[in-house]
Amino acid sequence: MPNQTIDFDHHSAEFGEKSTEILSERRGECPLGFSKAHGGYWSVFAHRTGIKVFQDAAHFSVCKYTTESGEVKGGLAFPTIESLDLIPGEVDPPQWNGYRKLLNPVFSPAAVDRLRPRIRVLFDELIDEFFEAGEADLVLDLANLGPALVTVDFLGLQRSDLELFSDPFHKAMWAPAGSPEWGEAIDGFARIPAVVLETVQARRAEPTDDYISELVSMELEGRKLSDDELIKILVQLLAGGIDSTAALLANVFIYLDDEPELRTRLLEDEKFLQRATEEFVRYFTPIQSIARTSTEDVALEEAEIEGRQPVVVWMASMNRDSEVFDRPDEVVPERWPNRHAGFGIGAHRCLGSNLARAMFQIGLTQVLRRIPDYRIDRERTVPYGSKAQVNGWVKVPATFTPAPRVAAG
Amino acid sequence: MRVCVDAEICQGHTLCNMTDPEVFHLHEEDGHAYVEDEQVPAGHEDAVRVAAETCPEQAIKVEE
Repeated sequence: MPNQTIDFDHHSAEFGEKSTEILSERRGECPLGFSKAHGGYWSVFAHRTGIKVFQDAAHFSVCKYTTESGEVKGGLAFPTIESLDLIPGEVDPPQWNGYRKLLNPVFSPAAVDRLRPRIRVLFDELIDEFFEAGEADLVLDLANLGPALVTVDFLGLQRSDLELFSDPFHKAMWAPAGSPEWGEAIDGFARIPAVVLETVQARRAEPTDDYISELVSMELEGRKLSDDELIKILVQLLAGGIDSTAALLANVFIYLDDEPELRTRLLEDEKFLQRATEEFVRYFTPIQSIARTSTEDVALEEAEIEGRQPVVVWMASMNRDSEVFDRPDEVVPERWPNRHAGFGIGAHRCLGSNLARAMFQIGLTQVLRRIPDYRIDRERTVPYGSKAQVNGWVKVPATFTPAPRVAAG
Repeated sequence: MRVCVDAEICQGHTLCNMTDPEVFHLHEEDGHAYVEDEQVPAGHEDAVRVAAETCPEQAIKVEE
């Protein structure tokens, strides 16, 4: 299969509707293939091949670069999102090592455990807003807001700016590249740095107990982080914290619509909840794909990839690969081992994976505790029109018996 | 049976710790895994094999 050319466009309307089927077909034909859409790019479908790309940072870079004609290319999205620069997501080793070492401690399992009570308070506040009404949109009123609120709260950004931060990240993911909504999201990204910088400067002058205060005082190789670095780090943390966990919650709320026994088991058995979380991440793969750029001519499986080619790795496909998973197209909540690639593989493994798990588990169990009989209005759910990057939902309306308030007073 | 975690390959996915927290510990600062004693305690052999299999990076080396 030397340099197999495939008919594939992850930004097409057809892919938005049938991404799982299309990925399954392509994976059946070849571990990776080249398509001519968007100026030409490689797509990686097989689990083993995706791992090779992710674990080979020397040949497959995350960095953006500028072409001779002044065009910005590369980065984690293909086509490139120029207005969104990320640290450490779009930094290769060795520079990556320093940034990651700086940021790892606050996202370690131990640190995230200390955040759990606060995460629960924030999710409860959101549920308080709608529990008496007997109806809510589990995406618009909860899944979209909870992870964003936790992120903004822990960073120390203004809660009143929540939508300014979250809107572009949701929109850029559900809208197809090139659509008017996608354009709005791109403009929205461009507005975020200035707002973030205000808080950075305020905390530098007068530190508080938030994470931005910690970041401005941190030292990397004996120097403080620059404004530019701080902005890129904070945009990264917003990008990671906002849409992916929302997408996981939305999918699982829908999946559990008609699963009363599973709901009970998730509440009663913590180990089961832990394993089911990994299975939900595998099956729904909130982040469907992540891009790399080949640094030079490189052989991968039977293919010869030229230098400076976009290479999109499909975690959504890796996670359904029957070479690795039995019954890959079924949710098996107790599945273990579960060598899924939902959080990525290699150096750029999702920095916030432990926080994502905590937000998901707390958001899910608080819904199951407080509105245990919720049912989804399936006729009115709206999935993302694009599945190029995130497998999410725009609207998930639900009804339930109004439940008692948790917060005192 | 002996087991070790290759610190160069481990990226802190934490799935080994979910499989057997008595054998696989996580560093406080980054959640990367380590074993305190390479000798696998009796009764943990199956869990260690499963942990090696579930590691996304395949960073766990088992000697039967």
